[in-house]
Amino acid sequence: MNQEQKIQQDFLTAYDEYNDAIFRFVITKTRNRDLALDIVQDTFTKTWEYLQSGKTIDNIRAFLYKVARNLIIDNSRKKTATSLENILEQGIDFGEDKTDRWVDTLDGKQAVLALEKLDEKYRDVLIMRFVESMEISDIADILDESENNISVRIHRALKQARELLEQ
Amino acid sequence: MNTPENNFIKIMQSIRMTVDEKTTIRDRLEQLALNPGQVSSPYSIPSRFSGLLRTVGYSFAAIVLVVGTGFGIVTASADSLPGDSLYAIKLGVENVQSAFKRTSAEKGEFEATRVTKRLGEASQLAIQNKLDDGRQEILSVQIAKHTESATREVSKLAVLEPERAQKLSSKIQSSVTSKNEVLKIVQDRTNSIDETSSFATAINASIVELAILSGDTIDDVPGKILVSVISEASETNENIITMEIIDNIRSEIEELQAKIKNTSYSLPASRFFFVEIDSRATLIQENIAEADLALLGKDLETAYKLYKDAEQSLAEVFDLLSLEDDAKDLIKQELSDTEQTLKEVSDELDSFDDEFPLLDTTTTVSGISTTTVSLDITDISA
Repeated sequence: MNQEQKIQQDFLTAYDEYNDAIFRFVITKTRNRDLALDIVQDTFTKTWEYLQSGKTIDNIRAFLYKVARNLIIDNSRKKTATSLENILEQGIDFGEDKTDRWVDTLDGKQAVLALEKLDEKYRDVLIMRFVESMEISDIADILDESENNISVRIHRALKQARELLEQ
Repeated sequence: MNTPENNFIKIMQSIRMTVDEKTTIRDRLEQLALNPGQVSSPYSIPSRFSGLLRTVGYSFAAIVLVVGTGFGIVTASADSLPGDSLYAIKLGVENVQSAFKRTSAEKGEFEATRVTKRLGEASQLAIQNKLDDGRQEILSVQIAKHTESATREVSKLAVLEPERAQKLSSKIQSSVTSKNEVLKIVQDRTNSIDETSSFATAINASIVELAILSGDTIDDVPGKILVSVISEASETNENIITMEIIDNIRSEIEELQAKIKNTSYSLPASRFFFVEIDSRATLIQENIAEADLALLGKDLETAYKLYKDAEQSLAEVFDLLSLEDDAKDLIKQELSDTEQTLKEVSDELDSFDDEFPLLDTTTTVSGISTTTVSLDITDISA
């Protein structure tokens, strides 16, 4: 396998590994499925173009999030937003395991709706840290903040989230 | 464990693309990798296509405008005023410029600057004693259009980017209020009070609409504008409105004062933050006292500014207090972690001592004692 083929394979492996995570990140911010799919494709397209220009990427996961974030900002006019509740109705793929999921779904949906009241910057770090299991250093890199700020933000987000979930 | 937090994580992790969606994108990425070039999206072709048409259409309009009228005429129109022959071209050029703005933020900001441009034109006309009914009508209609456009863009932005929308609405307000002198000039130089009131009211309504639609309350509309419009009136309904607004501000400040009193009793006795918070609380009280005096002296502008300064300072105090709570929690965690580490090291040293009872660790490894926990990592590694 030559270098070009290796880059291609690594890129597609990254797509297989991170496509859902990037999709979740995008859709929770855009609230529009078509636009989210657009942005996911554009994210990987731009990443491929970056690799093709001869540059290397040390942390492809963080790079993908940064590209997606910039595309979200650029595309903020394209589509009208909808509620997270509607997104849950439209596009949940539970995969193979459905045991007792209806109970979890009900509580989870209520949690999602409650947490929609969180400040957006708090919701972002909560999702990145606890849903996507990202390291604080990666989150700081993606959001262009210091690790200390991210730590404090996660702490405050948890506090606010707990208050909302207890309501 | 079936907690709300864990259920939240599970439900969020279950938001995914369908298998078809993933496969479609993957196929297109593979196609891109094999055949470098633009990959079309299967999801938003209509919007991209219509966007392209729109850009082409406006480019064509711009070209027609410039070629049809000539570059010189377009340039000359820049200084025209309502009633001038080139004024329509000036507005046309601005319309094209607005159409080329890509984002809601850019478009909203541009439309806001158009409002201030119209106010500037009113000011120039008033100075030249040319601000007659016809010209006022032209300006009022244009200001209403720009305001509607700006507020529409702020509303769109507020849905997806509330912080940017707030910044934009503040910018809109400050750019408009910087032209408040126009109102005074209009009042000074126009003979009919009725004409002045209707024009000034139209402008004021525009500003108030901007404030309300961007999420602020009418209390946030700078007192300066309202004072300029309303304070000249004699015993009319406008005076009642002014006093009602001032009363609202006063009750808001009374709430702030109550909060300060309650907060000062529960100030943390922290050597890091107490002095800072105490001095800020003192400043807030001083601002309020000065504002009260200004209000008594009917200096509404100064009173409003001082009340708003007090409100801003209080918000900063609350930020500091919340930071204090967070800092305490973080330090607790750090201390707990440090204690744990020190205990582990101490245990290791105890076992080392047991294994080599004849070895005096306090002499062979500098700074380390089996009974204390002061530790020099570099010496151990050596």
